[in-house]
Amino acid sequence: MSDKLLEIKDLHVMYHTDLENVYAVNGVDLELTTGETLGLVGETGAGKTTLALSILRLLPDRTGRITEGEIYYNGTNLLELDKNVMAGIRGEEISMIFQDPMTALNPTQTVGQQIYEALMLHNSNHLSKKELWARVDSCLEMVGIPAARKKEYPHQFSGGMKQRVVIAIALCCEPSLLLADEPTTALDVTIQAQVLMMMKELRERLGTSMILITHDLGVVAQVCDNVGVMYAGEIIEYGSLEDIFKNEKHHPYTVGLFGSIPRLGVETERLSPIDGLMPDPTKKIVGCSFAPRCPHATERCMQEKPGLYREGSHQIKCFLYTDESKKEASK
Amino acid sequence: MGKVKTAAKPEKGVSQNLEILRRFRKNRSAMIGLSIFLLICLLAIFADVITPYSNAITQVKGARLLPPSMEHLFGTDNLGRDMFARVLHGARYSIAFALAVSACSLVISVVLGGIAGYYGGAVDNVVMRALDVIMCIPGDLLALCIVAAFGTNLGNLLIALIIGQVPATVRIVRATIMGVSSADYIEAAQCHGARDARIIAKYIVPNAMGPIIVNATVNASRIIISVSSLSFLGLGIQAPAPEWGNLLAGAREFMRICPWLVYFPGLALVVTSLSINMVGDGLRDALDPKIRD
Amino acid sequence: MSVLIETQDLKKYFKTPRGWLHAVDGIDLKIEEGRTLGVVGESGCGKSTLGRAVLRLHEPTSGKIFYEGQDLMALKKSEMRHMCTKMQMIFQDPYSSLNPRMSVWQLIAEPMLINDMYKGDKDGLNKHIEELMDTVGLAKRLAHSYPHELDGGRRQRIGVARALALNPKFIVCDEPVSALDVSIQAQILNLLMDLQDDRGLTYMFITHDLSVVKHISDEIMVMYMGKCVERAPKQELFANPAHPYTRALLRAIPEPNIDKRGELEILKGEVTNPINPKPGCRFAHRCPYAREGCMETETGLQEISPAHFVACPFCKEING
Repeated sequence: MSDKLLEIKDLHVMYHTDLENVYAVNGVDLELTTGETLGLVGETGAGKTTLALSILRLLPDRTGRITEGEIYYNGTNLLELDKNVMAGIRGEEISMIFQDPMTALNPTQTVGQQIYEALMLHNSNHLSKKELWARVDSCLEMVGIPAARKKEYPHQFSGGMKQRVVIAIALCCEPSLLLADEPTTALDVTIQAQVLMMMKELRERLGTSMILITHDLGVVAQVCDNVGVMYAGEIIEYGSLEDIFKNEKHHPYTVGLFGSIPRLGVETERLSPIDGLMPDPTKKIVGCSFAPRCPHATERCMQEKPGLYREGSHQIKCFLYTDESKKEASK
Repeated sequence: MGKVKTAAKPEKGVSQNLEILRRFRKNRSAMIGLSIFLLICLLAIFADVITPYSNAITQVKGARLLPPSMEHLFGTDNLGRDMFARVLHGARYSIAFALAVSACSLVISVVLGGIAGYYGGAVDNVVMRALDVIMCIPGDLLALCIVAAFGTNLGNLLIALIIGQVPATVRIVRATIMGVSSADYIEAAQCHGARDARIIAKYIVPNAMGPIIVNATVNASRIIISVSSLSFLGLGIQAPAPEWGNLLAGAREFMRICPWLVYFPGLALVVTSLSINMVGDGLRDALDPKIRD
Repeated sequence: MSVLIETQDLKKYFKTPRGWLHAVDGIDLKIEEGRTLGVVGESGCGKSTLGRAVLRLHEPTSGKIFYEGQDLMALKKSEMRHMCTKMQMIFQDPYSSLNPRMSVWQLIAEPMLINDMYKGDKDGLNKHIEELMDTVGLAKRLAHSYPHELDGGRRQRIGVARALALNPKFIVCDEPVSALDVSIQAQILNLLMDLQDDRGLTYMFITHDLSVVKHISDEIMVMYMGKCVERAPKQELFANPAHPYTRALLRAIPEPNIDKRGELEILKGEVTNPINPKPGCRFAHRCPYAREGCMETETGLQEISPAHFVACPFCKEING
């Protein structure tokens, strides 16, 4: 039986500014097993980045607040840990890579120094300086960069290479969990393919579990094992790749998402975008968050929050299915 | 294309200026600074009503070096002149000068910096190198030299201070305008056929004014000190005009026995300068809020 | 169908500290009235520069541009300014392409005010702005709102309304949906296609996203390092991609289809900028099929089938 590496229970996160409150995450439950890659899909404002930052407790000090919920990593509640202990976990057990490789690296340090620093901060094996620098070399080779380039500065690398360096820094301490926030969105298509394949290989070699945040369903299909669809701070659908890409039952938002994207293999005259916009995150939502835009919405959807419909690994938060299954059960 | 159901009248939008004003109003120290400065301005404008100018210059033999009392709120100086009247009327000089120098140097700097920043190339080089030469000499020292050479009248003083201000301000204007000039909406305007004049006036200047105004405000507080320094040295506004620098100069001899001669003008200077600084800081914070979305 | 836009050997070079950047290096194209040419490529290929060069927003280094047969390069700056009533642009970034100090009404009115349209006729101007807002799907109540109060999708609609204000015939769309969320992208793409049907507009649609370009274009041009490597009608390009770069590009796109998992093609090497480019095919150092002579000599576009042009002399052999 594979262990539960990460377990999130009923997480609520908000940003509190002097103007208003922004309810970014509204009750997220999540489980990740060792070795699994979870794709977290959603549009801007869905709360994906906030969720990732919450796991690492990297929310902005003044404004970010975790108001409810628990995050268990290997059985320990991260939210109750001392700050210093948490700092030890960051980078060594749980690592994160961000979207923009251009600004993720310190322009005044060589790339070698930046990897060395990460290794040095988590030197629990007390390796010597020489040994640490040898590890820097092997980390660079691991991401396909010649070790000789460790003396170069970030501006001497192209976008794709910079992102590889970022990945090297994130993986150099061999963390168990990698949070990747849109790691290839800013890269060219051919470079994206290189980086994605590299991440897949590394993941297999090091046994790292991953949460991959993206808006690109194609990337999800290529790299992930399971998928969670986020909307307005909730996970409204969850399942394996088969469930999400092949199954007929879907949350109406997921249907809309698939209908919005132009696909290479599919001929359509017009795309079917979802009408309207995501709800205002400064207001607490009554009822289903997607109801105002949903073609199947009923009066009940606007008032009550839908329960969870389960079918094997597939979960959908929608009355369409919970009602159906009740009807089936009562027959 | 689907017709959109149109609602009633268009709503009033909240422009950037309104947003900035709102943020400024929330900043306590900025509002305090603004209130104090406006109070000082009012006092300066209505100085005549509060106490006639004659009080500031009339020498009363029997009332020399009197300490503060109900009759003479700030005491009297060595020539028997009422210090309260002198400080009050002195405010007019400081504020008027600061505003005049700020406004003139701002206009000149925006024109020069705008041209240098928008056109770049050779034009930019010529303007900036010329100003570099001026910048080699410290501002106050330059003002000193000009006044010493050409005479100590108000006009020369004005010109001297303006010349001292311009180079540094042009730099800031130029940098801001270069930043704004590279924005996409400038390209869009060119795409619509707008000529340079319209682009500079309608697109670049309004968007660059923020940092420029903050800079001008902070400079104003320095100018007040500069004017007083020059007057203190006898090269600014000449006696018997009750400018604060003059008051301080006159108080030097009697400092130890009559410290109030130094306190009140000094305090007036500090408070005025500080209040303008607070407004400037508030403006800068309002323009560049740290907490974005 | 008449040809609306034509370029001949269009070049745009920039001077950089490291040498001359050959951003656009000899592009020939023809766009017929009412049709869309999709220009596709990765960073550094010169597609955005091409769009601006065609409008003379960037002054071309050499080459010719024709609008309805008229030589645009022969026009003086003042005459060229008048062309803005016929040729317009929609910009990529809805956040930086709108003047933050102008309201929606002012932004849409601006092109008309600059060109003295509706001079003295305030009512006519207002009516036209209302119509434009309606056409692009902007609620009337937003007329006095400012860009920073609106989301990316709405801002881009302002960009579209503004481009339509002068009733142009030709619009260069520079990655108009790249900065938008997926569902908003779809709304804007549909809008652009509807407008083309209703008004007979001609588009040059610049994008890096092959799936988007397939959806909206009639003909597609693939660019690499300033040069056109392949040009073909849409169906033909996707059915029979001939140039090694086009094939690599298509195979590098992750498709939302789990049956095709693990089939991403990896192209070695980096995407670079063409600064002082050496002679020879610019794709050679990354090309899996490069052979003797590819690095030395460069071939121009050759027609391998009706209206299908490729800049690779060996493509027939490679593709079998």
